[in-house]
Amino acid sequence: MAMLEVEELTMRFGGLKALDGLSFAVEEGRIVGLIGPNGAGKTTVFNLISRFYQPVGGRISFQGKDLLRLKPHQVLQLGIARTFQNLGLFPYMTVLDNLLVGRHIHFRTSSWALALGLGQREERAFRAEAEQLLERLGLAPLKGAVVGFLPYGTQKFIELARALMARAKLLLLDEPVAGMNAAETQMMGQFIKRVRDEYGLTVLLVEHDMSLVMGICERVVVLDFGRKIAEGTPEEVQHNPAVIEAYLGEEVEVA
Amino acid sequence: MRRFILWSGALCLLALAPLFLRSYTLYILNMAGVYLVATLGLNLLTGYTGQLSIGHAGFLAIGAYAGALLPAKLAVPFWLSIPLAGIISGLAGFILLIPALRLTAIYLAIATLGFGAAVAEILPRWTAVTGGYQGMKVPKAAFLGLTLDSDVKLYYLALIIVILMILLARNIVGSKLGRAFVAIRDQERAAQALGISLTKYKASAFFISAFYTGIAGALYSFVVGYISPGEFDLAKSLLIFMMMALGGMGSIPGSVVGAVFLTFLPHWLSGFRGLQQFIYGAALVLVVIFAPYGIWGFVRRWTMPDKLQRLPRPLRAVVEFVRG
Repeated sequence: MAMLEVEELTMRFGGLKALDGLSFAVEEGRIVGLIGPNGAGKTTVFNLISRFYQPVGGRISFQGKDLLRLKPHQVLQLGIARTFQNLGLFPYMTVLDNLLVGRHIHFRTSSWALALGLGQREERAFRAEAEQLLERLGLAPLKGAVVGFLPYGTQKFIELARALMARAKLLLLDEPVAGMNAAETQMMGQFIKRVRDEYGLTVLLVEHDMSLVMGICERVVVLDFGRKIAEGTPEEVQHNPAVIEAYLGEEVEVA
Repeated sequence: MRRFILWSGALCLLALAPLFLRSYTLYILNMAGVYLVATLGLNLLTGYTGQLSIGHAGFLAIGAYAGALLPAKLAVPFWLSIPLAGIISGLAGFILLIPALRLTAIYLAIATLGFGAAVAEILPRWTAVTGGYQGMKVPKAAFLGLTLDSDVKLYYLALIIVILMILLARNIVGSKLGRAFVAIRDQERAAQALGISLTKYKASAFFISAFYTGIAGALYSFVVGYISPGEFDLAKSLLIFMMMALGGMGSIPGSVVGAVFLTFLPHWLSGFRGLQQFIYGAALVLVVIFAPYGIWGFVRRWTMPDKLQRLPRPLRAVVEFVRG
C-alpha cells in the first residue's frame, strides 16, 4: 500500500473547478514531483493535504488513516510536514527559534510547568539538536540571526531544516527552488536527495523548475486544469504528447 | 556573574527606594507597577500573539472589583484575593476568544472595544454588588497581621508582584508557548502546519493576558483605596495600549519602560500649567516618529548597535495589524 493515497479528489472555488477527480499515490521512500502549468491545481493539492481547504469530494489517506478527518494542526502529528511557496518562516524570530518551532509538537513539558520556568532540560536538548542540524547545513554562524533579514535562498534552506526538526515521515515541498539561481537549485536538489536518504523520508514536491524535477524525482505526476494528464518516470513524462501540449499548447496556437 | 551583580544591585536599589522617596512619588511608582503588569499582559496578547485589543480596561475593572469584593463580601483572605482576581479576569478573557477565532486585526479590535464598553456599562448598573456609580471603598489589605495602610507597605507589595509577573512573562516568552504566540502572529498557516492549534494558543494568550490585567486591577484597587466604574473607560484601555506600543511591542523591557514613562510623564509636566495636554501629545508624536521601534528599541540602538537586527517588532506593526 502506498504511503499517501489521493483518490477522486475534487475541489471547487466558487464556479471554478480547481481539482477534478484527481487520483495519485506516493510510495514510501520516493521523491515524487507534482508538476503542471500555472493554475493547474498543484498548491491546491498541498493545501488540501494540509487541511486548509475542505474538498468537495474524494479521499486522502496517509498510511491507511483518513486525513480528511483531521484539523490543520493535527496533520503533522501523523507525520506530514510541509514548506510554503512564499516561505512560511517567522520573519522576526531567530533562525534557532524558527527551528525550535519545528519541534513544537515534541515538547512534553506542560504549559503550566513552562510558565514556572521548568522544562529547561528539554529546551536545551532540542536547542542542541537544532544547532547540530545547522552545523551540518553549514548555517551554524547564522543561528542567532533574525530570519527575515537573510537572503531568500538561505531562508528556503532554513524552512526545509525546520521541517526536518518536526521528525516527519512525508515532506511536502511547495516550490523549493523558486527564485533560486542554477547553482542554488542544484545544491537544493542534492540536499533534498541527501535528506531523503539520511532521514528515510518520502518527498512530494511541487516545482516549475524542470532541471530539479528531472534531476531528482523518481516519479512525476502532471496536472493540467485540475486533472491528471500523465504519470510516470521523468523520461516517460517528458515524451508524453499530452504533457507537451499542456506546456506548449499556447505557443502552437500563437503560431 | 556581571549580570548577577547588576541585577542584585538594581534589586537593592528598588528595595531601598522608600528610604529616599517621598510618599507621593511612591504612590506614583505604585501606579507605575499597576500599569506595568497590565502592559505586560497586553503585550503578551497584542505584541506577541498579534491579537489587537483596545478593551483591556474591562479586565482591569474585573480584577479591581474582584480584588476589592472578595475580601469585603466573601471574607477571602487578601493574599488569595489577588491571584483569584487574576483567575476570574482570565476566565473572562475567554469571552474574547469567540470573536478572536473569527476576526483579525481591526475587526477584532472593535470586538474588544465592545467588551470594554460592556464592562463599563454593567459595573454602575449592578448596584447590589458594585455600589453603582459612586463606587466603593476598598478594604485595607492585611497580611499575617500586617495591614498595608501606607504607600511604603503597598510599594513592597507592588514590587513583589511586579517581579513575579516579569519572571513569569520571561518564562512564557522564552518557551515553546511564547514561540507559538509569535508563530501565530507572523504566519498563522505555517504555525498550524507545524502543529500549533490556533484555538488552544489563542485561548492561552487571552487567558494569560486577562490574568495579568486582572492582577494589575486588584493591585490598583489596593493602591488607590477607592474604585468607581468611571475609571475603567476607553481612555484607560488606550493608555495601556500606548504604554505597550511606545515601550516596544513584543518586548518585556519595553513594557516596563513604556508603563513607567507614561505613568510619570503627566507628573513631570504638572509644572507647565495649561500646556500639559499639548506637551503630552507632542511627546507621544515625537516618540512615534523618532523611536519607531518603541522607546526600548531606541535605547538598544544606542547601547547595543551590533544587535540592531534583533530589535523588538516595530511600532509599524500597529499599522500592519490594522491592515490585517
